[in-house]
Amino acid sequence: MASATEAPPVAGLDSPAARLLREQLGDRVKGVDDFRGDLAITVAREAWVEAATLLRNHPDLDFKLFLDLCGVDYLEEREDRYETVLHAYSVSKKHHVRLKTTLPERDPRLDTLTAVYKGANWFEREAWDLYGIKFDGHPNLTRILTHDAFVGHPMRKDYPVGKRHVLKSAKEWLLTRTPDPEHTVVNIGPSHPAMHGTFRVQAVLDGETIADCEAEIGYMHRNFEKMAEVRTYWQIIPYTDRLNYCSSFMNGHGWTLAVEKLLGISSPPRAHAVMVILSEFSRIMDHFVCIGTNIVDLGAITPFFYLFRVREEIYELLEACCGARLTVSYVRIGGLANDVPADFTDRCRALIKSVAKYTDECDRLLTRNAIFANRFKDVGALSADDALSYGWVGPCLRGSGVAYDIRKDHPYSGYEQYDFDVPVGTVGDCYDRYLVRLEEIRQSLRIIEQALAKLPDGPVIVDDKRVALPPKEEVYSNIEALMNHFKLVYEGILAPPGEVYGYTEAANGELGYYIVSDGKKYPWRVKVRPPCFNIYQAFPQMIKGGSLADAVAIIGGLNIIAGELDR
Amino acid sequence: MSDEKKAGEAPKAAPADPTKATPPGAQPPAKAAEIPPAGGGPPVQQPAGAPGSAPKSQGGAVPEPPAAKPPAAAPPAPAPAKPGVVTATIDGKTVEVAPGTTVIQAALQMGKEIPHFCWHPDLPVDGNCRMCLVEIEKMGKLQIACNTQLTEGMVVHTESEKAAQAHRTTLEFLLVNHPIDCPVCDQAGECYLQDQYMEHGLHDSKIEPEEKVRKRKVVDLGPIMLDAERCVLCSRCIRFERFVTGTDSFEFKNRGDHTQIATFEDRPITHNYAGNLADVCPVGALLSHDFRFKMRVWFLESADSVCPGCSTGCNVFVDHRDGEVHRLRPRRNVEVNKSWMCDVGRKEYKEIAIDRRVGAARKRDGGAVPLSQALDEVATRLAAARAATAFVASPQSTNEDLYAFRALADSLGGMIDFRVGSPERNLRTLEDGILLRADRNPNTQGCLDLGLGRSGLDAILAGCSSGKVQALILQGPELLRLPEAAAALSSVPFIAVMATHEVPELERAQVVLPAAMWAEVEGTFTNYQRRVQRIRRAVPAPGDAAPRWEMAAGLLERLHAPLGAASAREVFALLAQSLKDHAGLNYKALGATGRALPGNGASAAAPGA
Repeated sequence: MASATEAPPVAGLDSPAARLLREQLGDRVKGVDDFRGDLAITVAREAWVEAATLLRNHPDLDFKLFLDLCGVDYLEEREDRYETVLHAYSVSKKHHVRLKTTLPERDPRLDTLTAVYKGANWFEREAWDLYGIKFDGHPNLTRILTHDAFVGHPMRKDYPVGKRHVLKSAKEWLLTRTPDPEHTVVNIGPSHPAMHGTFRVQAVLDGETIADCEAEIGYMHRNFEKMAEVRTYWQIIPYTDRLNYCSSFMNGHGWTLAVEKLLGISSPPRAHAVMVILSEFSRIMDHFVCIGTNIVDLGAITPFFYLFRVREEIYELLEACCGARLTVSYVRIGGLANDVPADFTDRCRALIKSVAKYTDECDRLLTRNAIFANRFKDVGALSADDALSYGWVGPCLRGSGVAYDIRKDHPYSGYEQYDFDVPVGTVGDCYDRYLVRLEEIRQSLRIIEQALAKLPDGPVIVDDKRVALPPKEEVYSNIEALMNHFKLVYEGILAPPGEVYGYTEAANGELGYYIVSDGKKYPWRVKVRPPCFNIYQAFPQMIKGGSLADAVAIIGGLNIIAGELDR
Repeated sequence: MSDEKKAGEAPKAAPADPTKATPPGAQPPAKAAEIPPAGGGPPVQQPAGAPGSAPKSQGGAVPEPPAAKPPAAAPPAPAPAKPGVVTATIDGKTVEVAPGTTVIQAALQMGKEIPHFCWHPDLPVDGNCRMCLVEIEKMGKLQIACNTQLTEGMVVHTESEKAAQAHRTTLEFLLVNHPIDCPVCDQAGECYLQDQYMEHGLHDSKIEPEEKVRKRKVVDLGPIMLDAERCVLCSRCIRFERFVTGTDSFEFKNRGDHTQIATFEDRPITHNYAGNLADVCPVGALLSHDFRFKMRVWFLESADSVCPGCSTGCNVFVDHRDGEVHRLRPRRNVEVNKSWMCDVGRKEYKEIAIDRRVGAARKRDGGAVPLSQALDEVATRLAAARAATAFVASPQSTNEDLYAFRALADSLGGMIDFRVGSPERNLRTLEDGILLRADRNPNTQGCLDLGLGRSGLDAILAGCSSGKVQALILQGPELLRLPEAAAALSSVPFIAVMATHEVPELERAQVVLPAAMWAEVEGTFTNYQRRVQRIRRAVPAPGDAAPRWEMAAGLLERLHAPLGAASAREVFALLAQSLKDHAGLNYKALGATGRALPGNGASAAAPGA
């Protein structure tokens, strides 16, 4: 994703990270790679914690933002069956890094990174759940996405795709510490309107204060990543819509850019411009959901109605472009499925006015409202350090004062051409997060206006027969185009072997796709780097000691979408 | 037509035994080949020879393969870098090959597939398609890789701009009259034109559909359907008929743009190798009638296995989807079946289907029972009878099944044999002169190797009649079918049979145990050459059906003499430890094409030894 305006190259085999790790670890560094510009360093597993600590703490490296940790199963392809992969980011040096280690089949154990990054906790649980990789020293290595009656580790390559296990009864008790008998235990969710999209917290209440709590997720786990291993790159596009379904276009945007990075191609300029416009409208839509539902939980119904009213108009724009409102499947690898309608620019301009009007209304209703301020100010503050350690990104991270926005720091799809500001908070409380989102909506409108003014002509899909379908008139009238169409549909795009991490600034922050390709028609591994997963992980800590009412105020502002949280 | 002899015709070249060196007059293969990738696409490597003498022909329209020429511009050849080996460069990489290896074979050895249509590793070279053109330094024009020998110091570029353009234009020519048939053509998914268009073509069409020459479509040739429009005139079918089956069914008729492939008077193919014509045809001109319109091949998964039809043990791919097998295809094994298999074997897949399969254990008086219950009953009887037991193994079983069965017999001291109908007499008898053998069992040799011909069937039957045998366990229903055995069988108080299919004779047994079939298990067969080959599980067995070795292990467990193995792999490990000739073998060592035991042809464990 690096653009020409990036900081001096820190990639490459002699980057500071590679150099310093080699100096410290010696021959425990097993390999350094920079395929498509991604720095990837493999270390021996005994050196895992040491390497991660060095990456995080060394002043020249400063990889303080924890992004992702996942397992990969290579079955018989490699000597060691499993890999554990860590992705981290340095806000100060503006650079990503991938740290990997290999684990043998007979003994897939690894030391926990929970002391280095707070966010590693849930990710290690997920790797245990889906792969059976054990993390020594983990405080609570239990299943997180699959239910308790599940047997086996579903992401392993020898676990059959269609195999299911029936859950006959819910897990009643989540808490790990026995509560005081004077206290009351309550389940917040999963079927509670304030828990937007099925997640559950079991809280111990001392009066109205939450004395202890434990979270349970996985209600919407559909194992997107397993499906991705038996689908072509195109076929995965509708699945991406169903991650963060409140801004589905952005998931597709990120996906096609990640696959293009792997292929080494790029969509044409017009496609990029349209993707920017629709992504920004989707960001606005998502922020409207966040603000609207957050505030309705606290009892303010009016803004909710206003904001959802204007969302309808954005839906209509998407419907005019691709026929669908919610799950759009509009992108294709190499561009868009079809060009925008002839009145696209007019529609967008009208929509900008509409959005601006409703945003202002919402602002007038809420921002200086005394009740609102009382409920939101100094509630749910998370420090910048904690936010980075958990892997917070997007408006939540920026609310806590860290100015990281991929559109500015690693521009893609032409974002470098547009003038816009990135709002950043100070305290990191609910109020800051609200203000950040509100201002982001206004900045998105600025971007859309500029993109519309500069909208180039031309094709919306790359001119490459290995990637884009031929026009239908050709398909029906000559054998070459027919064969081309056939091969693209039943075999799909063949990406070169290798791995990439593609990332974009989605509505909730850095949405990443870690794709491992073995050169065949299905990807070998797809790991979604889900911003909601990191953000929600901090939630139990944030609400302990606070009131139940504050917990409701906080959860809405984090914008947790179960489709992305659970995948 | 292929079978009829016409008066006064010249003597044909004898049909080649595909297991021996290829067609008469051709050079033997240079080096052992790798296995072609599953799922179609141009087969990988190996020489069908060619350089050198042209085989005899009968005034056929098949162009004689020209003798391979060494490079025309011939300065004195440089001294070889390595004696006895030709060292050259292909696409910047150094290769070392045996003298006589052609460029296309050498490229395959280093993992590079040069596009081609008419070349086939197991057929003589024809060089008519012009697709495999490559650029060779110091040679002015592009050369065909299939018929150019690699010489010392040669530098070959397979994808230079000139070569890539030649590939593209050759494809263009081949596609000029090609019908727009993909949606109705079975070959889609394993079509050379489709695959090579994506890799070497990607050009735009310059032809209108109305301009294309029309030919005959849907010509029924019996097991094969012919669509003359799709044919790219590669002559593989002609060469197959001439040099493998010796039946000469196909010829080109007409000329120029109107050249078509045809049989005389459209007579059907009647020999036992018709299925190979569909395999060998790179496009959808010749297609299997049986498979027609049944399944799109990109939905199919392929498991490596071995045909159970006879003792040849042709290597196959079992193509399946969602637990159902849709066809068998030959898998190349230079030592056993080259790229071919017979139609009798191809039809074997139909036996796997669920109807008529035994899916549950049952007792004669009581109906279906859980397998564990049936095994309990059998174990009880065996424990009571001890040495008064007899075991009849089946040469349909895998080596793992046989080993566990023998262990069961040994633990009780009972009699054991397998020779219902003397299968070992036909073990090596070639029935149709090409691949099919008279012994229609896949593992007679395995029975011999494990010494299962120990007690003699007569002794067992005598024991049954006299009451010496109190419990008789059968690995298959063969004995129940034998009329001479009827009397003896009716005297035995307890018979248990492992069966795959519902047949009336199962009535004679007290307990029926549901056995899994060859395509449902991991295991090994030993063919007539004493070659041990792996079979891989493709589909799950129906209901409670289980591998025979697993059921025998279940009985051993109940008799407190556990087998000590929890997987087929582990059973084979035990087997390899117990037999001298098998020492050191394991599944990994067997690989994809198996390993021949020492003393090929001579059985160390002869019957009665």
